[in-house]
Amino acid sequence: MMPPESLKMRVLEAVRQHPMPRRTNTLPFTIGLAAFAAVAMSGVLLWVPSLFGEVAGPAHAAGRPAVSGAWILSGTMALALAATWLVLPSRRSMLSPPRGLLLAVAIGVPLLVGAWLVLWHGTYADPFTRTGWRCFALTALTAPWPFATLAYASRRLEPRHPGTTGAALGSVAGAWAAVMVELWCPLAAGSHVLLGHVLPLLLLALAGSAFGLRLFRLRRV
Amino acid sequence: MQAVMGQVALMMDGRSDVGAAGASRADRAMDRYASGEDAAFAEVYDELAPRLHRFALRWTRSRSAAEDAVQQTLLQIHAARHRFVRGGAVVPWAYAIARRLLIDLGRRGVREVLRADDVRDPEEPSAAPSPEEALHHRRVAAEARRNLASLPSGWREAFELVKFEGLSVAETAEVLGITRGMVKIRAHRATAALREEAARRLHGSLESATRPAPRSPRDISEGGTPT
Repeated sequence: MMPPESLKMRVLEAVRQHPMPRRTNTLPFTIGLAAFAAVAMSGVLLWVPSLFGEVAGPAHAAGRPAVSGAWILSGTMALALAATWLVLPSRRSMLSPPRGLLLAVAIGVPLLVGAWLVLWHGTYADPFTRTGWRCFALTALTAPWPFATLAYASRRLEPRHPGTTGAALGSVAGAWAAVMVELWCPLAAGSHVLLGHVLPLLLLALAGSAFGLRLFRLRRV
Repeated sequence: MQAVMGQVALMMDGRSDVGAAGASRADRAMDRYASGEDAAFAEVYDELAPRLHRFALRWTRSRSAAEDAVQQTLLQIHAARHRFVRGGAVVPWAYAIARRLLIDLGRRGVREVLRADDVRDPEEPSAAPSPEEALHHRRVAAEARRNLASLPSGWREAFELVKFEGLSVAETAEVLGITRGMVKIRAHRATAALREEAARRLHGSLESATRPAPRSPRDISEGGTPT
Protein backbone atom coordinates (compact mmCIF):
# COMPACT_ATOMS: atom_id res chain seq x y z
CA MET A 1 0.00 0.00 0.00
CA MET A 2 1.42 3.35 -1.07
CA PRO A 3 1.13 6.43 1.12
CA PRO A 4 -1.61 8.77 -0.11
CA GLU A 5 -0.76 11.65 -2.38
CA SER A 6 -2.17 14.05 0.22
CA LEU A 7 0.64 13.03 2.60
CA LYS A 8 3.24 13.99 0.01
CA MET A 9 1.52 17.34 -0.48
CA ARG A 10 1.47 17.92 3.29
CA VAL A 11 5.14 17.03 3.75
CA LEU A 12 6.37 19.06 0.79
CA GLU A 13 4.28 22.04 1.89
CA ALA A 14 5.69 21.84 5.43
CA VAL A 15 9.21 21.65 4.02
CA ARG A 16 8.54 24.63 1.77
CA GLN A 17 7.15 26.70 4.65
CA HIS A 18 10.05 25.95 7.00
CA PRO A 19 13.19 25.95 4.88
CA MET A 20 16.38 24.64 6.46
CA PRO A 21 19.89 25.77 5.56
CA ARG A 22 21.97 23.68 3.19
CA ARG A 23 24.96 21.66 4.35
CA THR A 24 28.11 23.57 5.14
CA ASN A 25 31.60 22.31 5.81
CA THR A 26 31.72 21.87 9.59
CA LEU A 27 35.34 20.70 9.76
CA PRO A 28 36.94 24.16 10.21
CA PHE A 29 34.48 24.99 12.99
CA THR A 30 35.07 21.61 14.68
CA ILE A 31 38.83 22.15 14.56
CA GLY A 32 38.37 25.67 15.91
CA LEU A 33 36.18 24.36 18.70
CA ALA A 34 38.75 21.69 19.57
CA ALA A 35 41.50 24.32 19.66
CA PHE A 36 39.36 26.52 21.89
CA ALA A 37 38.68 23.55 24.17
CA ALA A 38 42.43 22.89 24.46
CA VAL A 39 43.06 26.55 25.34
CA ALA A 40 40.21 26.57 27.88
CA MET A 41 41.49 23.37 29.50
CA SER A 42 45.00 24.81 29.72
CA GLY A 43 43.52 27.96 31.22
CA VAL A 44 41.76 25.92 33.90
CA LEU A 45 45.00 24.09 34.66
CA LEU A 46 46.96 27.34 34.93
CA TRP A 47 44.40 29.29 36.92
CA VAL A 48 42.22 27.03 39.10
CA PRO A 49 45.01 25.45 41.26
CA SER A 50 45.96 28.91 42.47
CA LEU A 51 42.44 29.15 43.94
CA PHE A 52 43.37 26.17 46.17
CA GLY A 53 46.64 27.87 47.10
CA GLU A 54 48.59 25.39 44.98
CA VAL A 55 51.27 25.69 42.35
CA ALA A 56 49.56 26.01 38.99
CA GLY A 57 50.53 24.19 35.80
CA PRO A 58 52.84 21.24 35.19
CA ALA A 59 55.35 22.54 37.76
CA HIS A 60 53.11 21.01 40.43
CA ALA A 61 54.04 17.53 39.19
CA ALA A 62 57.79 18.15 39.53
CA GLY A 63 58.13 15.49 42.26
CA ARG A 64 57.20 12.71 39.80
CA PRO A 65 59.97 11.14 37.71
CA ALA A 66 59.88 12.58 34.20
CA VAL A 67 59.88 9.16 32.53
CA SER A 68 56.91 7.95 34.62
CA GLY A 69 55.10 11.20 33.87
CA ALA A 70 55.71 10.83 30.16
CA TRP A 71 54.43 7.25 30.17
CA ILE A 72 51.35 8.14 32.21
CA LEU A 73 50.54 11.05 29.92
CA SER A 74 51.10 9.19 26.68
CA GLY A 75 49.08 6.19 27.88
CA THR A 76 46.14 8.36 28.93
CA MET A 77 46.32 10.32 25.70
CA ALA A 78 46.33 7.12 23.65
CA LEU A 79 43.29 5.95 25.60
CA ALA A 80 41.50 9.27 25.02
CA LEU A 81 42.31 9.17 21.29
CA ALA A 82 41.13 5.58 20.93
CA ALA A 83 37.93 6.29 22.85
CA THR A 84 37.24 9.38 20.72
CA TRP A 85 37.70 7.35 17.56
CA LEU A 86 35.32 4.69 18.90
CA VAL A 87 32.44 6.95 19.95
CA LEU A 88 32.20 9.29 16.99
CA PRO A 89 29.97 8.13 14.12
CA SER A 90 31.71 6.55 11.17
CA ARG A 91 32.26 8.71 8.10
CA ARG A 92 29.23 7.44 6.13
CA SER A 93 26.78 7.16 9.01
CA MET A 94 24.36 9.57 10.59
CA LEU A 95 24.09 7.33 13.65
CA SER A 96 26.30 6.53 16.61
CA PRO A 97 28.14 3.22 16.98
CA PRO A 98 26.36 0.19 18.51
CA ARG A 99 25.03 0.59 22.02
CA GLY A 100 27.28 -2.15 23.44
CA LEU A 101 30.37 -0.33 22.23
CA LEU A 102 29.17 2.98 23.69
CA LEU A 103 28.44 1.33 27.03
CA ALA A 104 31.86 -0.32 27.03
CA VAL A 105 33.47 3.08 26.46
CA ALA A 106 31.30 4.82 29.07
CA ILE A 107 32.19 2.29 31.77
CA GLY A 108 35.56 1.10 30.53
CA VAL A 109 37.34 4.43 30.08
CA PRO A 110 37.14 5.54 33.75
CA LEU A 111 38.27 2.13 34.91
CA LEU A 112 41.14 1.97 32.41
CA VAL A 113 42.31 5.48 33.31
CA GLY A 114 42.32 4.46 36.97
CA ALA A 115 44.06 1.16 36.32
CA TRP A 116 46.71 2.83 34.17
CA LEU A 117 47.51 5.35 36.92
CA VAL A 118 47.58 2.78 39.71
CA LEU A 119 49.88 0.62 37.58
CA TRP A 120 52.58 3.31 38.03
CA HIS A 121 52.11 3.54 41.77
CA GLY A 122 54.87 1.06 42.55
CA THR A 123 57.43 2.65 40.23
CA TYR A 124 58.00 5.83 42.25
CA ALA A 125 57.24 7.24 45.69
CA ASP A 126 54.47 9.84 45.71
CA PRO A 127 55.96 13.25 46.59
CA PHE A 128 53.07 13.87 49.04
CA THR A 129 49.71 12.41 49.98
CA ARG A 130 46.32 13.94 49.36
CA THR A 131 42.69 12.79 49.30
CA GLY A 132 41.94 13.86 45.75
CA TRP A 133 39.29 16.59 45.93
CA ARG A 134 41.50 19.03 44.01
CA CYS A 135 41.93 16.58 41.16
CA PHE A 136 38.19 15.91 41.30
CA ALA A 137 37.42 19.62 40.92
CA LEU A 138 40.01 20.10 38.17
CA THR A 139 38.62 17.18 36.18
CA ALA A 140 35.08 18.48 36.55
CA LEU A 141 36.13 21.95 35.35
CA THR A 142 38.21 20.80 32.37
CA ALA A 143 35.79 18.18 30.99
CA PRO A 144 32.93 20.41 29.73
CA TRP A 145 35.11 21.88 26.97
CA PRO A 146 35.98 18.63 25.21
CA PHE A 147 32.40 17.47 25.82
CA ALA A 148 31.07 20.46 23.88
CA THR A 149 33.49 19.72 21.04
CA LEU A 150 32.58 16.04 20.95
CA ALA A 151 28.86 16.79 21.08
CA TYR A 152 29.28 19.11 18.11
CA ALA A 153 31.44 16.62 16.20
CA SER A 154 28.87 13.89 16.67
CA ARG A 155 25.80 14.31 14.45
CA ARG A 156 23.74 15.86 17.27
CA LEU A 157 20.70 13.70 16.53
CA GLU A 158 20.59 10.19 17.93
CA PRO A 159 17.16 8.59 17.71
CA ARG A 160 18.18 5.20 19.13
CA HIS A 161 20.09 5.73 22.37
CA PRO A 162 20.76 9.40 23.14
CA GLY A 163 21.49 8.69 26.80
CA THR A 164 24.13 6.06 26.10
CA THR A 165 25.72 8.26 23.44
CA GLY A 166 25.90 11.12 25.93
CA ALA A 167 27.38 8.84 28.59
CA ALA A 168 30.11 7.66 26.23
CA LEU A 169 30.90 11.24 25.18
CA GLY A 170 31.01 12.25 28.85
CA SER A 171 33.49 9.50 29.58
CA VAL A 172 35.68 10.44 26.61
CA ALA A 173 35.59 14.10 27.64
CA GLY A 174 36.67 12.88 31.07
CA ALA A 175 39.59 11.04 29.49
CA TRP A 176 40.76 14.25 27.81
CA ALA A 177 40.34 16.06 31.12
CA ALA A 178 42.41 13.31 32.76
CA VAL A 179 45.24 14.03 30.31
CA MET A 180 45.29 17.64 31.48
CA VAL A 181 44.92 16.84 35.16
CA GLU A 182 47.76 14.31 35.03
CA LEU A 183 49.98 17.10 33.76
CA TRP A 184 49.39 18.68 37.14
CA CYS A 185 48.93 15.79 39.57
CA PRO A 186 51.95 13.61 40.45
CA LEU A 187 50.06 11.12 42.66
CA ALA A 188 49.28 7.51 41.79
CA ALA A 189 48.13 6.05 45.12
CA GLY A 190 45.03 3.87 44.82
CA SER A 191 42.72 5.82 47.13
CA HIS A 192 43.70 9.16 45.54
CA VAL A 193 43.22 7.80 42.03
CA LEU A 194 39.80 6.39 42.91
CA LEU A 195 38.44 9.60 44.37
CA GLY A 196 40.27 12.19 42.30
CA HIS A 197 40.53 10.51 38.89
CA VAL A 198 38.05 7.63 38.52
CA LEU A 199 35.01 8.95 40.39
CA PRO A 200 34.79 12.22 38.41
CA LEU A 201 34.94 10.27 35.15
CA LEU A 202 32.11 8.03 36.28
CA LEU A 203 30.09 11.07 37.29
CA LEU A 204 30.89 12.71 33.96
CA ALA A 205 29.47 9.64 32.22
CA LEU A 206 26.27 10.04 34.24
CA ALA A 207 26.11 13.76 33.53
CA GLY A 208 26.82 13.07 29.86
CA SER A 209 23.92 10.65 29.81
CA ALA A 210 21.58 13.32 31.18
CA PHE A 211 22.89 15.87 28.66
CA GLY A 212 22.65 13.34 25.85
CA LEU A 213 18.99 12.73 26.59
CA ARG A 214 18.35 16.43 26.22
CA LEU A 215 20.74 17.20 23.36
CA PHE A 216 20.47 14.24 21.03
CA ARG A 217 16.93 12.94 21.43
CA LEU A 218 14.32 13.34 18.75
CA ARG A 219 12.10 16.37 19.07
CA ARG A 220 8.75 16.61 17.38
CA VAL A 221 8.94 19.12 14.52
CA MET B 1 -0.89 -11.17 6.84
CA GLN B 2 -0.59 -13.77 4.14
CA ALA B 3 2.58 -11.99 3.33
CA VAL B 4 3.96 -13.00 6.73
CA MET B 5 3.45 -16.67 5.99
CA GLY B 6 4.82 -16.15 2.51
CA GLN B 7 7.90 -14.58 3.96
CA VAL B 8 8.39 -17.45 6.39
CA ALA B 9 8.18 -19.89 3.50
CA LEU B 10 10.65 -17.86 1.48
CA MET B 11 13.00 -17.63 4.40
CA MET B 12 13.10 -21.37 4.62
CA ASP B 13 14.56 -21.25 1.10
CA GLY B 14 16.99 -18.62 2.28
CA ARG B 15 15.48 -15.95 0.04
CA SER B 16 13.48 -12.79 0.50
CA ASP B 17 11.21 -11.17 -2.07
CA VAL B 18 11.87 -7.69 -0.78
CA GLY B 19 14.52 -5.92 -2.79
CA ALA B 20 16.85 -3.26 -1.47
CA ALA B 21 16.52 -1.19 -4.62
CA GLY B 22 16.17 2.52 -4.04
CA ALA B 23 18.63 2.77 -1.18
CA SER B 24 21.45 4.26 -3.21
CA ARG B 25 19.06 6.53 -5.13
CA ALA B 26 17.74 7.78 -1.79
CA ASP B 27 21.28 8.46 -0.60
CA ARG B 28 22.12 10.37 -3.75
CA ALA B 29 18.89 12.36 -3.60
CA MET B 30 19.50 13.25 0.04
CA ASP B 31 23.04 14.25 -0.76
CA ARG B 32 21.79 16.59 -3.48
CA TYR B 33 19.17 17.99 -1.13
CA ALA B 34 21.75 18.61 1.59
CA SER B 35 23.98 20.31 -0.97
CA GLY B 36 21.27 22.86 -1.68
CA GLU B 37 19.08 21.36 -4.43
CA ASP B 38 15.64 21.97 -2.90
CA ALA B 39 13.76 20.01 -5.55
CA ALA B 40 15.60 16.82 -4.56
CA PHE B 41 13.48 16.47 -1.42
CA ALA B 42 10.55 15.26 -3.52
CA GLU B 43 12.82 12.48 -4.74
CA VAL B 44 13.88 11.71 -1.17
CA TYR B 45 10.19 11.46 -0.32
CA ASP B 46 9.46 9.18 -3.28
CA GLU B 47 12.30 6.85 -2.30
CA LEU B 48 11.67 6.72 1.43
CA ALA B 49 7.97 7.29 2.04
CA PRO B 50 6.61 4.02 0.59
CA ARG B 51 9.10 1.94 2.58
CA LEU B 52 8.58 3.88 5.78
CA HIS B 53 4.82 3.82 5.31
CA ARG B 54 4.83 0.04 4.92
CA PHE B 55 7.08 -0.30 7.98
CA ALA B 56 4.91 2.00 10.08
CA LEU B 57 1.68 0.41 8.91
CA ARG B 58 2.96 -3.02 9.85
CA TRP B 59 3.93 -1.65 13.25
CA THR B 60 0.82 0.36 14.07
CA ARG B 61 -1.94 -1.16 11.89
CA SER B 62 -3.40 2.32 11.65
CA ARG B 63 -3.27 4.43 8.51
CA SER B 64 -3.38 7.74 10.35
CA ALA B 65 -0.63 6.75 12.79
CA ALA B 66 1.52 5.40 9.96
CA GLU B 67 1.08 8.60 7.97
CA ASP B 68 1.96 10.65 11.03
CA ALA B 69 5.11 8.60 11.58
CA VAL B 70 6.17 8.97 7.94
CA GLN B 71 5.50 12.71 8.00
CA GLN B 72 7.46 13.17 11.24
CA THR B 73 10.36 11.07 9.98
CA LEU B 74 10.68 13.05 6.77
CA LEU B 75 10.42 16.36 8.62
CA GLN B 76 13.15 15.23 11.01
CA ILE B 77 15.33 14.43 8.02
CA HIS B 78 14.54 17.83 6.54
CA ALA B 79 15.35 19.53 9.86
CA ALA B 80 18.77 17.85 9.90
CA ARG B 81 19.46 18.74 6.27
CA HIS B 82 22.54 20.85 7.06
CA ARG B 83 24.02 18.05 9.17
CA PHE B 84 23.72 15.28 6.61
CA VAL B 85 27.24 13.99 5.96
CA ARG B 86 28.55 13.81 2.42
CA GLY B 87 28.04 10.30 1.08
CA GLY B 88 25.98 9.35 4.13
CA ALA B 89 23.41 6.55 4.17
CA VAL B 90 19.91 7.96 4.58
CA VAL B 91 17.90 4.70 4.69
CA PRO B 92 19.13 3.30 8.05
CA TRP B 93 18.90 6.77 9.53
CA ALA B 94 15.31 7.18 8.34
CA TYR B 95 14.33 3.77 9.68
CA ALA B 96 16.00 4.53 13.02
CA ILE B 97 14.03 7.78 13.32
CA ALA B 98 10.78 6.09 12.31
CA ARG B 99 11.36 3.27 14.77
CA ARG B 100 11.97 5.72 17.61
CA LEU B 101 8.81 7.64 16.75
CA LEU B 102 6.82 4.41 16.66
CA ILE B 103 8.27 3.27 19.99
CA ASP B 104 7.30 6.62 21.52
CA LEU B 105 3.84 6.24 20.04
CA GLY B 106 3.59 2.81 21.68
CA ARG B 107 4.80 4.18 25.01
CA ARG B 108 2.00 6.71 24.95
CA GLY B 109 -0.38 3.75 24.84
CA VAL B 110 -1.49 4.41 21.29
CA ARG B 111 -0.14 1.22 19.83
CA GLU B 112 -2.45 -1.14 21.70
CA VAL B 113 -5.46 0.83 20.55
CA LEU B 114 -4.20 0.99 17.01
CA ARG B 115 -3.46 -2.73 16.94
CA ALA B 116 -7.15 -3.32 17.35
CA ASP B 117 -7.97 -1.31 14.23
CA ASP B 118 -9.01 -3.45 11.32
CA VAL B 119 -6.47 -2.51 8.72
CA ARG B 120 -5.37 -4.92 6.07
CA ASP B 121 -1.77 -5.95 5.66
CA PRO B 122 -0.12 -3.64 3.12
CA GLU B 123 0.95 -6.60 0.99
CA GLU B 124 -2.31 -8.52 1.18
CA PRO B 125 -4.00 -9.03 -2.22
CA SER B 126 -7.01 -6.79 -2.71
CA ALA B 127 -9.16 -9.28 -4.70
CA ALA B 128 -12.14 -10.42 -2.60
CA PRO B 129 -11.79 -14.13 -1.69
CA SER B 130 -14.64 -16.57 -1.10
CA PRO B 131 -16.03 -16.73 2.48
CA GLU B 132 -14.21 -20.04 3.18
CA GLU B 133 -10.95 -18.65 1.85
CA ALA B 134 -11.44 -15.47 3.81
CA LEU B 135 -12.02 -17.44 7.01
CA HIS B 136 -9.00 -19.62 6.35
CA HIS B 137 -6.84 -16.60 5.56
CA ARG B 138 -8.00 -14.87 8.68
CA ARG B 139 -7.14 -17.87 10.84
CA VAL B 140 -3.75 -18.30 9.22
CA ALA B 141 -3.12 -14.59 9.47
CA ALA B 142 -4.09 -14.49 13.13
CA GLU B 143 -1.84 -17.47 13.84
CA ALA B 144 1.10 -15.94 11.97
CA ARG B 145 0.58 -12.61 13.69
CA ARG B 146 0.48 -14.32 17.07
CA ASN B 147 3.65 -16.26 16.29
CA LEU B 148 5.46 -13.15 15.16
CA ALA B 149 4.18 -11.13 18.10
CA SER B 150 5.20 -13.83 20.56
CA LEU B 151 8.85 -13.51 19.51
CA PRO B 152 11.10 -11.43 21.76
CA SER B 153 11.01 -7.85 20.47
CA GLY B 154 14.71 -7.86 19.62
CA TRP B 155 14.37 -10.94 17.43
CA ARG B 156 11.17 -9.67 15.81
CA GLU B 157 12.63 -6.29 14.92
CA ALA B 158 15.75 -7.77 13.35
CA PHE B 159 13.60 -10.30 11.45
CA GLU B 160 11.17 -7.67 10.17
CA LEU B 161 13.86 -5.24 9.05
CA VAL B 162 15.89 -7.85 7.22
CA LYS B 163 13.09 -9.95 5.78
CA PHE B 164 10.20 -7.54 5.29
CA GLU B 165 11.94 -4.22 4.79
CA GLY B 166 14.79 -5.63 2.75
CA LEU B 167 17.52 -3.88 4.69
CA SER B 168 20.98 -5.39 4.66
CA VAL B 169 22.46 -6.81 7.85
CA ALA B 170 24.71 -3.76 8.15
CA GLU B 171 21.78 -1.36 7.71
CA THR B 172 19.68 -3.29 10.22
CA ALA B 173 22.56 -3.15 12.69
CA GLU B 174 22.63 0.62 12.27
CA VAL B 175 18.89 0.98 12.69
CA LEU B 176 18.83 -1.09 15.87
CA GLY B 177 22.15 0.14 17.24
CA ILE B 178 23.61 -3.32 17.63
CA THR B 179 26.45 -5.22 15.97
CA ARG B 180 26.05 -7.07 12.66
CA GLY B 181 26.73 -10.36 14.38
CA MET B 182 23.89 -9.72 16.79
CA VAL B 183 21.53 -8.95 13.89
CA LYS B 184 22.40 -12.27 12.27
CA ILE B 185 21.89 -14.14 15.53
CA ARG B 186 18.53 -12.50 16.24
CA ALA B 187 17.18 -12.92 12.72
CA HIS B 188 18.31 -16.54 12.70
CA ARG B 189 16.68 -17.26 16.04
CA ALA B 190 13.44 -15.61 14.91
CA THR B 191 13.48 -17.67 11.72
CA ALA B 192 14.12 -20.88 13.65
CA ALA B 193 11.32 -20.10 16.12
CA LEU B 194 8.82 -19.31 13.35
CA ARG B 195 9.85 -22.41 11.41
CA GLU B 196 9.45 -24.55 14.50
CA GLU B 197 6.03 -23.08 15.16
CA ALA B 198 4.96 -23.61 11.54
CA ALA B 199 6.16 -27.22 11.68
CA ARG B 200 4.34 -27.80 14.96
CA ARG B 201 1.14 -26.38 13.49
CA LEU B 202 1.47 -28.47 10.35
CA HIS B 203 2.07 -31.58 12.47
CA GLY B 204 -0.98 -30.73 14.58
CA SER B 205 -3.25 -30.28 11.57
CA LEU B 206 -2.04 -33.58 10.07
CA GLU B 207 -2.83 -35.34 13.33
CA SER B 208 -6.30 -33.84 13.48
CA ALA B 209 -6.92 -34.88 9.85
CA THR B 210 -6.19 -38.57 10.68
CA ARG B 211 -8.49 -38.56 13.75
CA PRO B 212 -11.93 -40.22 13.41
CA ALA B 213 -14.75 -37.86 12.45
CA PRO B 214 -16.80 -36.47 15.34
CA ARG B 215 -20.21 -38.03 15.84
CA SER B 216 -22.29 -35.03 16.76
CA PRO B 217 -22.37 -31.29 16.11
CA ARG B 218 -21.67 -30.83 19.83
CA ASP B 219 -18.29 -32.56 19.37
CA ILE B 220 -17.45 -30.21 16.54
CA SER B 221 -18.19 -27.12 18.56
CA GLU B 222 -16.15 -28.44 21.47
CA GLY B 223 -13.21 -29.52 19.36
CA GLY B 224 -13.22 -26.58 16.94
CA THR B 225 -10.71 -23.83 17.04
CA PRO B 226 -12.18 -20.69 18.52
CA THR B 227 -12.21 -17.82 16.08
